Amino acid sequence: MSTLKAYVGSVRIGFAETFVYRWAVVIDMFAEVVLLLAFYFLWRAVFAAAPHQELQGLTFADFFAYLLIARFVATMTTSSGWGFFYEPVRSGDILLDLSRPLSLGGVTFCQHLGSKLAQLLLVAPAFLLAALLLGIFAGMTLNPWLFVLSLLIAFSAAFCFELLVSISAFYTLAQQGIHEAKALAVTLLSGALFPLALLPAPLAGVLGLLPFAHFVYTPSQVLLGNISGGALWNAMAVQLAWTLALASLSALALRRVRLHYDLQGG
Amino acid sequence: MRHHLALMAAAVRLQYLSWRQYRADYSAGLLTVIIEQVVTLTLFWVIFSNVTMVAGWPLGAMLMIYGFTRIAFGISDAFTENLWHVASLARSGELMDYRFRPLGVLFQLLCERIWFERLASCIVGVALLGYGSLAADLDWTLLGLLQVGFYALIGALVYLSILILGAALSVFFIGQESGPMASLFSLTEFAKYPSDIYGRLGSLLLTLLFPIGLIGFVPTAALLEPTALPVIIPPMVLVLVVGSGFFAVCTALWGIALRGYQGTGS
Repeated sequence: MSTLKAYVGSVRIGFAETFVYRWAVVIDMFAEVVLLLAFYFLWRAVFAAAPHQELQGLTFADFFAYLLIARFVATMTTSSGWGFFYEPVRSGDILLDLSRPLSLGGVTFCQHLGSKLAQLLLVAPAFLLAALLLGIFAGMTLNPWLFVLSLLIAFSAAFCFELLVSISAFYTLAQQGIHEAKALAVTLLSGALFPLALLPAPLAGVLGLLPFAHFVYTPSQVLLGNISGGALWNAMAVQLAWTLALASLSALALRRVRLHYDLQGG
Repeated sequence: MRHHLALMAAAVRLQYLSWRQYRADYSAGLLTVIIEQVVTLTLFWVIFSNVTMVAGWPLGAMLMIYGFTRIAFGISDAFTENLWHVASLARSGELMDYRFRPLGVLFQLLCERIWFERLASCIVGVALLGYGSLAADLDWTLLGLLQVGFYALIGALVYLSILILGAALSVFFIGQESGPMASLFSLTEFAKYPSDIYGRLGSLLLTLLFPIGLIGFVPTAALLEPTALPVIIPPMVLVLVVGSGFFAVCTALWGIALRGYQGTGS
């Protein structure tokens, strides 16, 4: 019971910390709006130049609806910054975290969850407002409940991947390059910039096999109702399988760190 | 001035020795540069596998615009990493240490850390510019090459100015991590595409007010299609006057922010 209280406390810490720096979230939101605006103009020009103003059967309205949802999902699932452990490893505080009678991965997950819940409260109204003002969902059949489920799985999968990359801080402090490269690769491969269906079919097929597509592309397609029936359950099963695989890998890596990590200095 | 140049040369020499010593750590930074190009080039690939032109600009011109931005960004990025840390320096009070030294704070920040691997972006930029100009059937002359050098330097100055402005905002809004910087920098996304896709007003704003159009679009239009420029001034004069004016305004704001900074903590 006390362990459960400690984890719930970690969620509250993550939530409170994000609210303390709420202006940072608002400013991040501004950057998101800028990116959406730039893409709005770019893709509007692209669709205007396309035959019948369609790309692979998508109209500009379909495309922008996808993009808005994908950016929201990316905000909720992916992480910016230099990972979970750069600062504590650099300062040596990680020793305290490792010596606590709680799972480091579990505490980190709970704090991250709290932080994302706070972010959800701060950014979701802005995305909803944008969607309503632009009339993006008018006439669409949305799938909100399965979307929430798919989003939760995507969040867990993306967290496990982030944890795995963050563990590299125990081996090298050159974290900036690693995390910038990771963020860019995830952005491209997850479908956060455009629907993966716009890629040539063989390449889109390969990307569908990697975990990244399940961080953003799958939940977005679920909400828009672009996958249904057996294909939908199949996609969510693959999402779950990747989450379990990444969770096992990160647990193994953390165990190895706990057994072999030497802290220098004092 | 000679004193500053000598100090700058010494800083470059020391940083180069350090870079050679820790090449393994810096290779992660190189990876970032490569992946960054892959992301944008994949976006272009997706676009141009569906259409032949965007707002009248073919792939060659788009590659030239992007190439110009990469050259300018590479030059600026090699020296400006420290400006991203101004928010944290201001919050911890360490920025005050810089003020006590008998050198300009901005000069110290720019010279303290030099990221040589970021210059790889320039190599990519030159390659894209060369390939794009071939695709656009541009005949190169000696004057054209000199123009490229000039535009690249002014483009780097515009990037530098944006980061100085971001650093100034970080000092104004102490406690917001690197948010103001990241938000301001996100606006440079607009520089990667032809300014005329943003409409007449957008194009004017991006040329005269927040002049990121000077980095890639104006040089490309000047070389390929001068009639596409949003203002009727010789492009080199336009770039020089607006670029240096923007730099002057941003450094003045940095000065104001720094004078108002009173440190934090004890």
